[in-house]
Amino acid sequence: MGIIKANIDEDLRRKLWEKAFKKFGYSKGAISMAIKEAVQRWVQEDEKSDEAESERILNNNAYLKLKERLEREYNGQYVLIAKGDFIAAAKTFDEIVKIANTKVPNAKHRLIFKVTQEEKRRRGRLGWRIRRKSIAGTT
Amino acid sequence: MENSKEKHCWNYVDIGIRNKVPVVQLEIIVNDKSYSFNFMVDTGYDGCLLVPYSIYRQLGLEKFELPKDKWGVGETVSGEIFPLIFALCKIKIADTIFECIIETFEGNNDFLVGLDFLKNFNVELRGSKQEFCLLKY
Repeated sequence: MGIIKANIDEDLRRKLWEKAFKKFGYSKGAISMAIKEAVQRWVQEDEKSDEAESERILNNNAYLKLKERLEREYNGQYVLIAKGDFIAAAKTFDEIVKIANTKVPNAKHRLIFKVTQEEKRRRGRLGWRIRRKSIAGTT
Repeated sequence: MENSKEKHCWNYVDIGIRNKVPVVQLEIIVNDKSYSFNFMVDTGYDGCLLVPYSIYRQLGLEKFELPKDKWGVGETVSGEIFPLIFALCKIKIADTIFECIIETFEGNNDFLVGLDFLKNFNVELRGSKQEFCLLKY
């Protein structure tokens, strides 16, 4: 058992207290149990994210190696790359998803796309990302 | 939502800014499950769908991702640049299902539909009724 000291803002601290007491009752260990659960969840989530990221790198490297072959042999088809390898090609999106769920159900990351030789879209517009809020005298 | 055979309408929604905004409710289909969200209509956005990064992760859209060299960057009118992540998915609106590239970037909290989505429909903004309508071709 270790002791962790941390600073959190007042609002979050109040919420933590409320939730912990609601879930674990008004006992001495309620806060510790809540923090333990939160940290466990965060660690699991982060590990899952790391796995997905390493598979993403693996799959993208495989894609770069296979790119020319895919464009030559599977133009217009949907292809699946997972676990660093070309898995399958299919004529429809539904088919390739079915194959993905059967052949690589445990993959944390997969590449599924339609092979085309079109120029990729390099830059897109995201619109106005400014929101005007009403303040006195402006409505 | 008002429905006729060809037309689907949604009321504008108050999202806490000065004017109510047109929104459209649609479903993202992942592994035969549908997830319904309200998307703000933004004609300044030229993609299909933009979802919050947290939703992208929760839905497991990294399992439907496009290769990195097909990703793009997004640029706002104020010049900010965001690297975008792309995934391919099916979406459902009323009775229509079609494929759509779903985009996100780390830190995004917005749900947007853009021009790539709207090109599949005739669009009506009924200002007097505060309604947004989509009409099938």
